[in-house]
Amino acid sequence: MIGHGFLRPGTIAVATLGLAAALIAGCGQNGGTPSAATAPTVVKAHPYKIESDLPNALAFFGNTNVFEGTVDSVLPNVHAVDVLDTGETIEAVYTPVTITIDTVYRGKLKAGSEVTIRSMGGEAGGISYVIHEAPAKETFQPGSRVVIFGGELVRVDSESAPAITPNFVYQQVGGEFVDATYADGPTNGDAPSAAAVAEVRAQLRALPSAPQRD
Amino acid sequence: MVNPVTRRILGTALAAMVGSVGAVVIAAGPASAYCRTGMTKWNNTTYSKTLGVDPSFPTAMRTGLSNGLTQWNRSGSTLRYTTPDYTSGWMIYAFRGSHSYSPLMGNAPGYAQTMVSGSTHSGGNLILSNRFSWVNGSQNISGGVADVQTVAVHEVGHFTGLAHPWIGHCTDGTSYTPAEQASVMTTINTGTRRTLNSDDVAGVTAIY
Repeated sequence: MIGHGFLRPGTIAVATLGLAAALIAGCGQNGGTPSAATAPTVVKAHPYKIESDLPNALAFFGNTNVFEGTVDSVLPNVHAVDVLDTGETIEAVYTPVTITIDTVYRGKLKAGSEVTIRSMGGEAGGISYVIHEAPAKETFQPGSRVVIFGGELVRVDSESAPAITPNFVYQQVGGEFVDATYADGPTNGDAPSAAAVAEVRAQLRALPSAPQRD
Repeated sequence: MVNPVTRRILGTALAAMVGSVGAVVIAAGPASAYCRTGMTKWNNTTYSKTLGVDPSFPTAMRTGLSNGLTQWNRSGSTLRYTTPDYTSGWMIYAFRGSHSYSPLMGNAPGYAQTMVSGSTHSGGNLILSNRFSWVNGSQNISGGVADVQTVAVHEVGHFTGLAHPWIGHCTDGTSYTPAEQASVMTTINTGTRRTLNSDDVAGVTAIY
């Protein structure tokens, strides 16, 4: 979340005071929907959307952890707060999704273990966090089989346990893995990228052990 | 002023109507058909918008950031962005920029976040991810290389009130026109795209 009210240079830090109040009010709260009398503050996020087809997902330099697994449980929404290294604070709401890992293609996670990913978007702690550039919530139904191309397993400042934000998500539908990275699809209503399960697994097994970058 | 979405729908309807009587045939959608689905606008244009940025922001990225902001200043629009203010007092600004990263951002090289009140916003955070290598040239997002101006002008477009124009995200019922496809608000498979096109200019001048 960001400061309240537009301020000209030199104006006192009303924005900072507003942010502090919001942090005190909302930090770390889980689940629940605020009453109608206290409508949530709406925060809209607009990440620069990137290509999510399979070649780009496989090649993306930020895939620290790549694994295949089965959705185990979907937990109540979390209001997360992170302080950046420049001192700014950003807030978001996500749904924690626990996944039992079947196969690890990259990274230090272990098959058979459980990991939590962040399904971004939702409402908690007085914040309604709106984002379209994230998987649809229904992607993560218990029992769903998914491939997660994820970032680091880390804890942001308000979290008590680490989690992974997916860079790309592929969901098994029948005999294929289908791109489920974005709730509103890859672009222009085009059909999402899809490939046979065996073909995707072969490409995943061929991934280098560490991400490559230019 | 006619609501931009309403204007766009009217324009499409007019084109279809004229075509149906055979007087003029317009095969494509309107030349300027920017999208505003789900977007808010600045709450006022009384003051120029100044991005307050921490002095740690890399010097080599500053020209691209400034260009990404100020080219949204167009005649016919009351919206004005100034060049960023690099200051240790950046927290006094409601519109803030940084070269940093949070796992909450996911895979994005650039991230715009606004706090919304009704149909407007009064500030926001613009973050250029420090996980990417930033250049003033060709970008390769999968490889971790991003062009400053390409990403900045797109994200400032969101602050300005413009949405991703493609079908799927844009739900105003109109087609994804060639002008929209060439807009800085389109990011998929576009590579480096640094300069507003007619669609972007039409958008900012209609909103403000």
